[in-house]
Amino acid sequence: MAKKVVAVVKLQLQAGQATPSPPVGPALGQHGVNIMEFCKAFNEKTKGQEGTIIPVLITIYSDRSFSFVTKTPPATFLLKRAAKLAKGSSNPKKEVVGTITRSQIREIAQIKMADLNAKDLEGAIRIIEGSAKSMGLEIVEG
Amino acid sequence: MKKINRLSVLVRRGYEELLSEDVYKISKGVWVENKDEKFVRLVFYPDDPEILLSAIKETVEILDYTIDEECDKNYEISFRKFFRPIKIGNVYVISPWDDRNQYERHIIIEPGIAFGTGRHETTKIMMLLMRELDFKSKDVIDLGCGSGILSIYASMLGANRVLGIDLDATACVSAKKNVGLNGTINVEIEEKNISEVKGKFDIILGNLDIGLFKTHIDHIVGLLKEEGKCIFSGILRKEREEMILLLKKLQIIKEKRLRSWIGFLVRAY
Repeated sequence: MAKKVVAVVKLQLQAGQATPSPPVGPALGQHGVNIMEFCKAFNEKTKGQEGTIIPVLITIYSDRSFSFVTKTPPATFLLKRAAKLAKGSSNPKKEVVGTITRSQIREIAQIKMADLNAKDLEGAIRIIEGSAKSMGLEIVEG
Repeated sequence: MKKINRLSVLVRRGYEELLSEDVYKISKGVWVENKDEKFVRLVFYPDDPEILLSAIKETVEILDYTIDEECDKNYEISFRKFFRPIKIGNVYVISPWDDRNQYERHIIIEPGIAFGTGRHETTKIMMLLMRELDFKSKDVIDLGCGSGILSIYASMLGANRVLGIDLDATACVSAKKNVGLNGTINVEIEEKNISEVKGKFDIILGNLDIGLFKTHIDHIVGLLKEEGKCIFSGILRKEREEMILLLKKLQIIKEKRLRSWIGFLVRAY
């Protein structure tokens, strides 16, 4: 328990699909982390969320043991979930694939404000709106 | 050796949140490296960096990028060089892939999600102080057992029964696995807080930290049998005076230092 942190590594990985190949291998290998142990634990923890990307923060201690915490999916995936999309638009400039309400945008902006490094909620909303448009989502009142 | 492409992309911090789904179809994931307060580097290993670059550009502004080649390694085993067998006192700490027949007295630890790979000074201090005690037929508790390394060692030294507890569920899974790897039969691992522990013990092991000692010292002392002994570590040298104050109800028999860390062997008055 006398833990001393030597590094924190952030990865964004497919839920339930981590393998020792890159980027996991190079990111954790340089710190001497037992990579298979990480992959097994990550896949176990994110089981049932397949199809989503999960950001994960891995903390490495001075005896090369580690712990990790998983975060909420990236904003893109929260938008997709909120709009109940199977997939984003392949040509967002021409094709609208779904709609999302302003209150849904606001909610995602609130969840993601810190992760987006936004100054305030308004800033976060603007970023999320831009992201929604680039996915081919139409923003509607509500 | 096989070469792989490494694409490193500089973007505004937070924009790793906005990568499209297509990006993750081309690359299995992304490694987000902090550059400074405003920017991050996104590191990908794509087959075709150009295709990936255009997918990223769809939703995220690229400020700069580099493409390098890197040697592909067998990452599943390449980390093993960090975990060569080490000798602590009269026992070797080895990994499951080492040849156990080469090491007469050994503890097998799968290095991973729990503290206690044997590489940390405090683990070494604990194990070296444990050699000073007679464990034969003793009831032992290991507070914050992590990988279970100290519990397994206590059993090896002849303890009657060892209870290892940890608050962290993943540490408990790891400790149970290590207990199994060593074929240790009289060690039990339970997921619980120090304040939930009941009963009396001959020997208390606690490789914790000063904060936990501050919170729990009275409860810990209450778990000690008459003439019982404790080994505590996880304390920095600069926290020594503070720790000595916390140990006022106990008698310090021995103190051990390794680099910036210290540990105490104490007994009930």
